[in-house]
Amino acid sequence: MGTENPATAKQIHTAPSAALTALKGYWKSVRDLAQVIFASPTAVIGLTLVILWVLIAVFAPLITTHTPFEQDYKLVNKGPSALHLFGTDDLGRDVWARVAYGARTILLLGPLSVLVAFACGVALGLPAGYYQGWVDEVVMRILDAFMAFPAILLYMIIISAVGASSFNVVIAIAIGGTPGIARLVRALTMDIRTREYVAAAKLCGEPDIIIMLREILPNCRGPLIVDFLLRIGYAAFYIGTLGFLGLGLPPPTPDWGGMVQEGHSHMTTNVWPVLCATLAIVTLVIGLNMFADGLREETMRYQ
Amino acid sequence: MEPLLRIERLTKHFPASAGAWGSSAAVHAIDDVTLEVRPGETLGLVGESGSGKTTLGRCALLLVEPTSGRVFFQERNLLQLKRGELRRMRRHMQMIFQDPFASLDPRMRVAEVLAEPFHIHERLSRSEIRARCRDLLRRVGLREDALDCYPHEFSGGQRQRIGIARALALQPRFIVADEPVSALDVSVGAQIINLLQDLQQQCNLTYLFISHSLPVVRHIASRVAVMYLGKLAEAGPTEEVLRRPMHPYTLLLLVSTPEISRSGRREFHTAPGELPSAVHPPSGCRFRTRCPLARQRCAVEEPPLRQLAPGHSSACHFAEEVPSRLNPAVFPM
Repeated sequence: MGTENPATAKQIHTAPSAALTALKGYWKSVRDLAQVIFASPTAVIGLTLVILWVLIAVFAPLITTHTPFEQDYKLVNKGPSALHLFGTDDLGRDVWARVAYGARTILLLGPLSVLVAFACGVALGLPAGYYQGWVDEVVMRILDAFMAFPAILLYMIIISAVGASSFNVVIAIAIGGTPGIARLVRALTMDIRTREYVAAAKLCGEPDIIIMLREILPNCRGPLIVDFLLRIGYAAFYIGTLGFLGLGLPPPTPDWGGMVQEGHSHMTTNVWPVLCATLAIVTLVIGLNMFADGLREETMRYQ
Repeated sequence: MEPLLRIERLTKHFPASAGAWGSSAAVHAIDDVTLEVRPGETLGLVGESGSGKTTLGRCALLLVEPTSGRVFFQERNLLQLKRGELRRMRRHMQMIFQDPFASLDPRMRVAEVLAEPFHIHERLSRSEIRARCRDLLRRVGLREDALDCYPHEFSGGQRQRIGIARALALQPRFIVADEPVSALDVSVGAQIINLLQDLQQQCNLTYLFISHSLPVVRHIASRVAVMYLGKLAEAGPTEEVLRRPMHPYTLLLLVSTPEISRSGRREFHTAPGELPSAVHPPSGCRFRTRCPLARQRCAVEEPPLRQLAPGHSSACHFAEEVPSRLNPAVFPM
């Protein structure tokens, strides 16, 4: 960033190249975003928690002394010690290693499933809100049918039908999240399609698909980003719940929900696996929620 | 001369407050309006808020699908064109919007806004497009380095200039200017009006100029059409209509324009009452509820648009009785 200082660019006062302009614009939007985040203490606390978990996930091999699969039958269900920082579980596996590697699982599957859900939600909500009429009716009635099921029941039905695997967990959470996202996108589209710049785009002869993707979708960005963060939190929560119900990732994958499920029968003698996994889920979900809330408050203040 | 744009018996009803079983209430935004715009002229379209003038402008460009009627542009019925044909036709007919803060996409740079029409209609290289965009900015009196700025970095007048540049991009023949100066300061608005007039000269443009301000229309328009509650009240050459109005509504608009008289006394009149509901418009003549000349006949019989002088027509049963200036005996206010 240092070489493309805006001040030097101005001094030279030549026509800036397209790449330089793009870079400056990019840098400016990053700065704007940072300004929004740092204006809200809630967002800063939330972001700190999230970054903490991302760092743990990324550097898991460096900050753990054991692998999450290593079993030590001499040390089963033990409390914290110098060898095992947060104790061991019922198979003698290091709890800290399983939590750290579990962060990798959840921080990969959570955003991925929400991303898939967003792709589907935008693909359905954007045309529904833009064309309205019968397109809207058909799409929304189908989604209403999905929304009639409680989310967790829907996940259980899907997982028990197709079997437990990380791919299927992603699919289940994507299907469960799509209707809500589609509704949000539809509502935003119905608002933005009446703006005059959309009329101007129509007058240019822009095809509908271009109007939807270039004019309407970018202007829905703010609320969608907030929703995206919130939903990653929910996804983490649901992946945990599925794990607890035994419908999550198949063992021995390190999975926070699975840890709670495996550990809860030994809870009276060894609380550590359950406690650590629960705290991990709680801090990540709270972090994401706080970040999203803070971001929402700040962006609304600017509008 | 052949008209550039001809609107025939255009009607637009918006569905309103549909009940549980879809009651057929409708807002009569435009009712049976017939209008011509000749090449090279500026037709002023006047009326108060809610009279349907903006809807008429949007229907003329088919931004809003009319309920019934026909729209001819260069002798072709726009409503019969296929989607692709209509999109190609769009380049000849553009619009300048009322609110310069809503008419530019806040997430697009000026360069992107102006380049959009070229991407759709022409095959040009990046540098050619950029050169065209620079040229457009120059023509509307903006600096070239505005290209890499976002709309929020500009004032209202500058934004309106960007909107005009976008409308000019494809060298249209016909432009609907929808109250282009009503959101601007008077001095800035005057600059925009002058710019529009200069551009008309240079590019041989035809304007449909929508406004609620008679002084502005008097300045720019050669002909004027007055709308009231979705109907055409009067149409004719601007000077003639303003000097000798043939519809009581035009007269009331005329005298409600605040002006400072020579004696320094401010004279200010308004039409009594408010615009009636467009869902249930009054029977007969729609203006009769506020008209000082209204009689029994006006409630029963809808007045047709009658030609009273060459090119000057009015939709009033008693057009001949409309005084040329305010007479306190007839208009007690």
